[in-house]
Amino acid sequence: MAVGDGVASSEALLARVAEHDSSALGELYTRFAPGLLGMALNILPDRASAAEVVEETFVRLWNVARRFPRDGASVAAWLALTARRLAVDMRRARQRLPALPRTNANEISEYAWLPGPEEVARIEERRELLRKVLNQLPKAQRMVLELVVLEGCTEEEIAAKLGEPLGRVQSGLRAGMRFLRHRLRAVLGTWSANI
Amino acid sequence: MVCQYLEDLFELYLLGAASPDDAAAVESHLQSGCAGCLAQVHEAGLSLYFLCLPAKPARLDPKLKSRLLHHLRKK
Repeated sequence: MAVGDGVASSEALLARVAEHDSSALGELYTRFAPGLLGMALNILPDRASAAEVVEETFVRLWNVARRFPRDGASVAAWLALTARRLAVDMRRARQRLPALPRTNANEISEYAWLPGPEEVARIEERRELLRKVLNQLPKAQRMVLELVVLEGCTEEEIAAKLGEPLGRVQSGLRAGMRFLRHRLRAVLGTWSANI
Repeated sequence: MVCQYLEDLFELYLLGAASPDDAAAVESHLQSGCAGCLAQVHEAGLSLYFLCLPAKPARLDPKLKSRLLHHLRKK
């Protein structure tokens, strides 16, 4: 989310949250909760569960605020990816599927791989262009991306669901992710390429 | 060669969707401190953020915010 003059950045609000300023958390809630609810509703079928995910996301933000790095990860990205994970966990638990594993590489600390505030702002500015990029993917690749991101399916589960060989699913999924990552670089200005 | 194979897996790894063998290979490689792959993991995080962005926000009941803040003030 772009922040104009006179409006506190999300990272500045988080610094206040770290001092247990609940009004700062309230400002972050007003700023991000509607978007998080929209995302959770893409993953969960009912509004009450999606709202529960949003609430739990902000409770977790409250709890981690003191450890959050001051000059690195974007609060918006942390919120979005945490809410997505909670929603997927809830969806899988209801389907009696095992929980997805957590990443635990030492170098990939809890926040190290999250985008920074400037990168998130650039994505927000170029969101429509990026949607067009996503639409350039073949329909079958978009569908498997949705299955993995929004339904929290593993590669093996997607293969079983679509009745396709695992190798074909893996190739399509990885090609889709690779395409998206390369195009993001181009759109965000770290490379030049024809969109 | 290892980097070339693993770089396609980073988004799936971060999503918890990679196979156990692939996830172990990614973790082992990242623990070796490969700077190029750590940079790619960061880019993969950017892709995931974009993929998670909702098409449109949804309206929340204002009571939910009051309830949350009340709960946190009591903690």
